[in-house]
Amino acid sequence: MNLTSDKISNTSKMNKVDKKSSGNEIIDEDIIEDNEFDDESEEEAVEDLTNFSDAELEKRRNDFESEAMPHMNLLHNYAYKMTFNRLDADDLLQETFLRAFRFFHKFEKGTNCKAWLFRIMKNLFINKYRKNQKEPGKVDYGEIENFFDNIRSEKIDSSDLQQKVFSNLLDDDVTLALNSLQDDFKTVVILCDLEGLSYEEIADFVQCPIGTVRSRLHRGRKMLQEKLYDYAKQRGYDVESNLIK
Amino acid sequence: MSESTPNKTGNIPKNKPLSEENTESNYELISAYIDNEIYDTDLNSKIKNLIVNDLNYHNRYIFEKLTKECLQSRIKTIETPVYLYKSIGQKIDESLRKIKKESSVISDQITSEIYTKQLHSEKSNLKRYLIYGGYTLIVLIALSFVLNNFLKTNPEFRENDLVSVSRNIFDKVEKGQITPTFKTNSTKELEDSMNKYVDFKVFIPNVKDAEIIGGVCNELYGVKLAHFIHKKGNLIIYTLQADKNQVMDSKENIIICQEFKENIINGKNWFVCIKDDKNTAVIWVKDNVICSSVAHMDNEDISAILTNFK
Repeated sequence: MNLTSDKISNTSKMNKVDKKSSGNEIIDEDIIEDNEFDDESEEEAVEDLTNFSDAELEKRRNDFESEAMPHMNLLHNYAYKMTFNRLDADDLLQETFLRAFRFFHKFEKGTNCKAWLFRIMKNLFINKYRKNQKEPGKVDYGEIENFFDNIRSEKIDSSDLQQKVFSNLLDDDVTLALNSLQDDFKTVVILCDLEGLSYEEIADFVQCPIGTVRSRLHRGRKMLQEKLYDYAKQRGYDVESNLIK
Repeated sequence: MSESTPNKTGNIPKNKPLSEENTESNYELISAYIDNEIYDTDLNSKIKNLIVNDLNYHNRYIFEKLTKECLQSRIKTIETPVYLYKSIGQKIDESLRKIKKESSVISDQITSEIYTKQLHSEKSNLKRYLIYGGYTLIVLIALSFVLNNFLKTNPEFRENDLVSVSRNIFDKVEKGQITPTFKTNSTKELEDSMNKYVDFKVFIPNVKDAEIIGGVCNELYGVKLAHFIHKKGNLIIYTLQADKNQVMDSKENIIICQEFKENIINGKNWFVCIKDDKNTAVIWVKDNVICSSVAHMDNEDISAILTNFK
């Protein structure tokens, strides 16, 4: 019995993700069913604010400051790790918070503000930055699916692997490897491994089941391993000969 | 946006045995183990044992753990600089100022629009009132014209109608508001006295069944009139008398209705007026005079009394 059969109860959107992941990697589905923060509704948001009194606007500003601003650092890091460009990250952060302020009347108090901000940022990133960036080369998951088949003949020694593969990698190699991931995988890897969020929190952010988070994380890490392994080989380390008799 | 975590069924169910096949879905448990996301203690122990004893699980675990650690150590966390916090705060304040400005412009526009609308509304109201006023005036003029015509053909509704005048004076006589100036029981004497004041020859019936008590002369609506009273017991018969030709020809002074005129022209010299709850009025004609006699009795009684001459 498949432990992860709970995936069957996922939403239809998530089922689409799971079905597709068996073959070539997923085209990003995030562009964007959720049009909550698109430009068309921004006029409506501005329209709403003009009906506010000065006192109401002031209150809104204060509420926003106390609810949203504390999450700025987390979002800034996410923005940086998605763009790997300081200026772009700063711009993305500013745009996110400005948009969040304009749409703050749509935020339901008491709910997860961090997740709400994250969604705004993700949408902005995909709509603005992703289009301008050179799309990272898609990683064919099928190619790495059998990755461990080549190194399974004996137990890997952790310190040996660390010493021979990971420690000799450049920071840029790791950055490039992370950047090579599709946005869906990259997001969960960043949020889990770099931002330290739980699966539940990540599921809330990306609005998918926890099982899908786990699955994407596992696959994302596997794709990273493949990349890092390639970089290590490029550095001249014959990892296979150490691992495979 | 609700906070509800989308589908918590992603959690690993308890007491589910591991598959004997080393499927990818089972390898995902390695990721969950690394991240301390397996809350079921039994399953956690099983995965731990597999990692220790199964080559596949072991190698995968090592590689994945090191990958995670590599990411954490190599990709730096950045601190959001203060200037960025300030910049965002300033931009928010700017947008607020812009909104306030737009709001006041909109408010001014709305006020101006409301004012303009109100002005238009008032102008159109005024126009409406003028039109309605005009219509009303026309209606009133028409009504007065109709009424005038009606009164002309039905002069008894006009105050200068002979019968109306006689009824009015009868009321006043009854109430004692008008008393005879010439008090006499002689019809001859009274006629002689009155003839001095009127421009026609007064005729006072000298009757058996009623006694003349007196009379008065005056001028109403430019017409000289003679008024005399007969009395029978407690009842009085008041008579208003005028020149027949003057009344017949009159259109503005003392008048009678067209029907009465026609009666007279046709030779009738005695006829009853429209019944009044208060009294009975009869019109009679004698030689050159026309009279309206009013009393609280039936017209036959009035007729009987005033024609039963001595």
